[in-house]
Amino acid sequence: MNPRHEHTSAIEDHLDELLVTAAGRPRAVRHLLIEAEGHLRETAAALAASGVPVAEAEAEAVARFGPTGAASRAPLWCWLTPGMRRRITLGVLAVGGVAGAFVGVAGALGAVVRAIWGAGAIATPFPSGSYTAADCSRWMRLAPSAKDCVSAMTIDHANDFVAMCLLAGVLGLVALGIRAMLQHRWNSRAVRWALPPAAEYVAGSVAAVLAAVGTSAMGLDSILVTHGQGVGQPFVFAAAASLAAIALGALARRAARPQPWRVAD
Amino acid sequence: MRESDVRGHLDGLVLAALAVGAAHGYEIIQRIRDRSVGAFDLAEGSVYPVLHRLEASGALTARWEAVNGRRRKVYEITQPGRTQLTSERTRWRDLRTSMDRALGGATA
Repeated sequence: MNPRHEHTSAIEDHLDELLVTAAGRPRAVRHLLIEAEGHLRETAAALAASGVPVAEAEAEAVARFGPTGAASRAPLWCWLTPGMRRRITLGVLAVGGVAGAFVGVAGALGAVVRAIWGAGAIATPFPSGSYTAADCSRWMRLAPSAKDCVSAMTIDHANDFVAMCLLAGVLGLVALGIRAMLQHRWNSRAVRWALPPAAEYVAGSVAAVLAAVGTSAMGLDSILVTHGQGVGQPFVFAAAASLAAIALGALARRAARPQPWRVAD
Repeated sequence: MRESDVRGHLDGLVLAALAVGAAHGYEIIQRIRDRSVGAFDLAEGSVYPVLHRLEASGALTARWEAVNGRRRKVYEITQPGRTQLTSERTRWRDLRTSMDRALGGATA
């Protein structure tokens, strides 16, 4: 086709726009383009046959077809380009992985607090009357050195807290590992530029700051309400959230730095 | 008539256009325009998301045909599509009756 004609064709321009704005699976987009082109050319041909000049017929066909958005409505997830979907997946794995890893750090800090100040510093017992004698027997079996049921329950709760946090830490590291693997596979400009640079890290960093503030407030509240019982738990979370905010902020800063394009892209 | 006036009834319009026989997108729009005596001023491209959704739901089937060296997708209504058309007609009649009553001045 003559490049000049291609440049000035209203139908070609509209199809170009549809190609870059239509979202969905590649095959669905290709099929939509075939249908749209057939429709536009059929309309233009009918108008031209009735005596309308070709350029005007094409412009009228495009006007009747309507904006490209009308032809490519799709569910929200389909609106996202494949690059965006990959970038969001990488972002969720990165932020989720960092969050999980720092919950693991909270578990490690909790273990230190437990070792220094005892289980009561990071766990609170259930209110009296809310547990049975069988529960007491189970807790006493798990902590035979405890002097009574409440102490055994508190030790059990503290152990659970540390174990669950450490498990979250392991899952966070697994998520970061999966993310590293996928990033290697999906490394392209289309993925990197699908969203603003560092968007996921900035969002994660803000969420971590809010979590740090929220858990600190909970810690201060529990000092006033429980006079120190279990107060270590919100504070180790606050410390871990603060560290996560610093780490995510550093990652955001690194990701926002301009990076040279690779020829392989 | 504005597109927003008929947006909620596009499925019914497309199914009704296909109830008389298989057709491709351009032809479907022509049928809707002819049947409405030109009353519906639709963006013609808006028919494609409806066709693709109805195809995905099983109300339509589609096949590719080559005409004058150009491929085009021809849609055909299925039995579930005919059932949906019946319920779309009922839904429209109920709406029309209610609107007539609400707006007043109608015999319904």
